Amino acid sequence: MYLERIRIPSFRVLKNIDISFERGFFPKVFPIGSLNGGGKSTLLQLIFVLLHCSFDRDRVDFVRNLINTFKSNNVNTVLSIIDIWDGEKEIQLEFFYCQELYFRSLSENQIGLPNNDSYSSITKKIMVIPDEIVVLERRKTTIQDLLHKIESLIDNEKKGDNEGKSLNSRYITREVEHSLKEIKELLSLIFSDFSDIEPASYITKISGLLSILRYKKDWFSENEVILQVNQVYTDTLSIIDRLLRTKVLELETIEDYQKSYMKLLEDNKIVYICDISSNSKDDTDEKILVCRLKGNLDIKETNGFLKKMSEKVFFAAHVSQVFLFTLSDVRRLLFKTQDSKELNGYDEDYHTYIQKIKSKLPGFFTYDFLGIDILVNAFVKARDLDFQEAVKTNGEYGSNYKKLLNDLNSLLNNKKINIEENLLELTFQDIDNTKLNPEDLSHGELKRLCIYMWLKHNNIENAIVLMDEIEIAFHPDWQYEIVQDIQKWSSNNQYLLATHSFSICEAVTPAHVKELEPKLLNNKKND
Amino acid sequence: MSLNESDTQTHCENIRKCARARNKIVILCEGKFQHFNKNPSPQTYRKMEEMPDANFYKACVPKWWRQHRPEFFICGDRKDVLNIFFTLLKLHHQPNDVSFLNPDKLFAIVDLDIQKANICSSYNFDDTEKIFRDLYNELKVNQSTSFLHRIWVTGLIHKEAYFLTPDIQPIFENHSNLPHYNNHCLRLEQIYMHMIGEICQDIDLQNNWQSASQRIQHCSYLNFDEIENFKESWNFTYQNTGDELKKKQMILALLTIVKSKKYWENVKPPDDWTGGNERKFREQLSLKIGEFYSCQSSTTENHIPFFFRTLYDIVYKS
Repeated sequence: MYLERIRIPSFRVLKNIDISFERGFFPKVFPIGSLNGGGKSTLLQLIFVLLHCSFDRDRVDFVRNLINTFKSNNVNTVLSIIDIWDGEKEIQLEFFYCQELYFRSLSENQIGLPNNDSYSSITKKIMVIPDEIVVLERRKTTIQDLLHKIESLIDNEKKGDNEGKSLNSRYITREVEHSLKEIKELLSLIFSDFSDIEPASYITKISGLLSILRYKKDWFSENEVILQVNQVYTDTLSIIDRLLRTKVLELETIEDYQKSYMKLLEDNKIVYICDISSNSKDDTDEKILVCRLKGNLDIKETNGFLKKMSEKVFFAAHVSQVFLFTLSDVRRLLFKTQDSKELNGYDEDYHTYIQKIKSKLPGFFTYDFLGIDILVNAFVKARDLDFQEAVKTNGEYGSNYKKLLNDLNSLLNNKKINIEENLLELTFQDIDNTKLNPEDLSHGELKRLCIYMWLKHNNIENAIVLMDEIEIAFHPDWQYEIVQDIQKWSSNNQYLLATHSFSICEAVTPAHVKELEPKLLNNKKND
Repeated sequence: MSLNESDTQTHCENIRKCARARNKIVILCEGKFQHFNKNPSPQTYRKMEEMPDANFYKACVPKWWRQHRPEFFICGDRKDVLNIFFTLLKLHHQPNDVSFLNPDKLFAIVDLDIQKANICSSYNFDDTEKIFRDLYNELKVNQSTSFLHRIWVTGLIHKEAYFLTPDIQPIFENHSNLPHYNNHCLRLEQIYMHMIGEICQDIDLQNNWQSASQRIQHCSYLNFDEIENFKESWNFTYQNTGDELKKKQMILALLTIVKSKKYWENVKPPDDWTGGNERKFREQLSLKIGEFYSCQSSTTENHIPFFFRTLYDIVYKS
């Protein structure tokens, strides 16, 4: 996977960006420079989020978070155009904002499209209606149970009366009353979800029944009352069944609409990404982010390509970085004191949140002090592979563990790494086997180890790897070397390195280096 | 064109006050003189029209050399490098000298070229040709005397000759963008044949045949009387010998006396290369070649790795 070109008309500080990463260049390492605040990190984060998150429903919230950091985006404007080479063909991804009207303009006759429902509302409904059906069915079961209870109480009383073993009539009345009240409450809840149904008659019937129970002592011996109870039973279940049928029908219609929309979008090679929060209550005013694909790509191949591409984009940055794809409330935590956070009920800090979102973003990595988890997992994996080999070969253990140790030790300068027997703790020793403390280790050395493990453990191959300020903690000598290291560790990746380091650039040619140039200011505007 | 005295002084001051030089081995080398930037950044690097020549040497620094790697300073042509080397030493001995530069860690490397360059009388060797003769013997570095040298000359005629040695052929062959030469996939042997075929056209070599041919007298099976005779004997021997080692020796001999830059500049990208002009292609290729030398063992046959090993030993092991 290779990012050939990116264009961004306007996003935050990025204005009129047009950068090509020439496919013929070698090594495939491109430093990107700019002044502080010039937009390097924003550029990498935008690429990462658009490519890694746009086509995965579980990650699309990160796109929304990022987009919402830039409020002035207009409708019908392009956010970014990204040219990707997948190894065989060139595909252009055009990310742009639009409105519902745009979708409708794609279809000449609009056959199959709803009159009122927008794509966004359909998408929301598709997610909501099945849940509503489940809730309705659950309530129906509860009501059914309550009605059965009433029925059996009355039956038992009648039977008992015949056999001369009458139950306490006050007890029965209280139980029936209680059940009827519960039914009434549940019906109120159900009716509140269906504005088109007139609930009065059902509720009134139950209320009437309740007052009869309250004032007539031997109500269950009166046929009239029993008839009313039976009526409530029949009415209630029939209305719920009717509502259920309505919901199922609505779901089917909505699914049909969605299919029509999907077909329309597919035919036009457009992928719906997400709607963007707006203050308007009207769905048709809502801004939508979509991606149009151009290039020699069959419709059937589209999903496969997008899935593959999104799994081939990785982003590494320092944990201290402000990540624009986090929630704005979470970003604001960075400006709050601990006291303020507690006052506002936040029980976690920014960094804890960052660690948490990593499970949703497999391509995201932070250069923490040391990726202990990655290392421990690598040791465990190597141990397991060795054991598997022993099982297969009747006792001949593999050499994965040994190989991993050798690999890691070759990266460390006169130090050795291993793992405690409990597989919970790493140990470092010098060449004299003296145990080392964290303060005895060079930060740069550990960071190098960490990057190595990240690339190797995740099998990052043939991927677009975005790395922000990789040079931090490295002496200029190592800044130069890390460019060669990453190529050696995973040679077929494309690396885009946002950097301030001259030494990193020296490892490639001047033509490899890309710049986000400062833009001329309109001074008159500032006057 | 060489630097004038004022530019030389300014460049020396820039080097002396450059923080990069602090506690480091400093190697002066040839290369197109570019404005010295005191605040180097990705932006200043990007603005360079050409990749600095020193980047090749930087890419050659052995992989094992991980701490205190040498720093390179480009100083213009060969004469400039030598001038700046001695001016830096002179400035160091001035009273109230303030500098990051440690003269014990100062070295220079220049191309051998056809003509010799004279060297300041205070140095152990009068000219580049004499350095060559002391530093190399039968195309191998003279281990016993290498420790005496602060100014090194290349064992082959130019830095570019190291891009064309037979060892480099696999790099071209395994490259995703197969380099071309004369509209065909690059075969170094074709370049050697062109070199020998055109050898008599080089007036400079003709005029300095005596001294140039002295460099390769160990190839006793060749005729050194006249350049024409050399050409014939080289061609004849090369075509008729089956001894690959002998062939390699003859090629290296050729690369010691035939100007190699123009042949290197004829190395071009394939037609479908999408990376822009051919200079960029060669620059990228030279970094790949540098990486090859950075992994080579530091034996006396391998000039560049041995050069770095010697500098390391002089400074950090003596």
